[in-house]
Amino acid sequence: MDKQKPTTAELTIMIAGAVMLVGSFISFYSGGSSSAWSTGLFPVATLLPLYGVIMGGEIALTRLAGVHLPERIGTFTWEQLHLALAFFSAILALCFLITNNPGLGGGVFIELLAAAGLVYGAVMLQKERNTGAIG
Amino acid sequence: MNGKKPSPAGIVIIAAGAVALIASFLAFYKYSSGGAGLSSAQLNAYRAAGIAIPKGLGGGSVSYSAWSNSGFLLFPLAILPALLGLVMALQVGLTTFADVKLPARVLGFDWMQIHLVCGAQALLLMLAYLLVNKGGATYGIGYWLMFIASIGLVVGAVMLSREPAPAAGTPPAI
Repeated sequence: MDKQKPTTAELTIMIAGAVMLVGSFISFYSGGSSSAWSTGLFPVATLLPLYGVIMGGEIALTRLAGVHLPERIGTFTWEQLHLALAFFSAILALCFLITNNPGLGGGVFIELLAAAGLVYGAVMLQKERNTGAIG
Repeated sequence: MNGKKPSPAGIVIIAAGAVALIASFLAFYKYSSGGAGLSSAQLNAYRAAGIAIPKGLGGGSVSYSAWSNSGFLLFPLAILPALLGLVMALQVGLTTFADVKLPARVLGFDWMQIHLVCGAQALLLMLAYLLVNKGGATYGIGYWLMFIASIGLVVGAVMLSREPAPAAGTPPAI
């Protein structure tokens, strides 16, 4: 087991992933229970916490639990996967914000905020690890 | 036109992208009730809660395309697979037929990876729509065509990643 202190980007991703998971249990819209786990939104909206948990989980496992994961998943590095998942979580959160709805609830704003955190963390991660993809 | 032919993977991606885009304008959901006595917001609240709209409260059949802003959980979520397919097909079409030079990498991703990511996201969304509680609606032809097209996008992306690299000095097929 090789535990290391998480960097700023890694901390951001873990916190944003946790916030995304918590926010998924809060109603996205008014007029009845409409969390990401409620019938009617599940599993379309559940993709958001799923992406957050994958991102936060990968960092937590490798940094806090010292688990060794494969360096690549197929042709993708973990940095690339973080960027792709963060990008799509932001797109999805924006879509849930502007889709036709009976009135916005707190959950959708929390998901949007967490998605912004994931994007920020994923971009920072690229810079911290000098992947050359950004900056 | 430069006379270049797309690779088999390119053909699959262009065809699937075109089908996804066209299908997004066809019926995604069909509701056999709803309307009279209930406002759009009330109907959406029913659908958000996963409650079937009681029969007798509406009249006739209503269908919504992925672009419809009236149906619940459609625009802009349901058009994402079509837009992702469009991006994939455009990249193949532009580089093959119009000789457009696109950057080899975008934010650290090469185009094969972008095709894989976009295809996977499109299929994941269509699978999620397959499992979602539709509140009494049924799937229209548009949904099924988009679902098949998203499978095509993934198949095309995987084929693309397995195609042999072009020989030195030969322009890439896509």
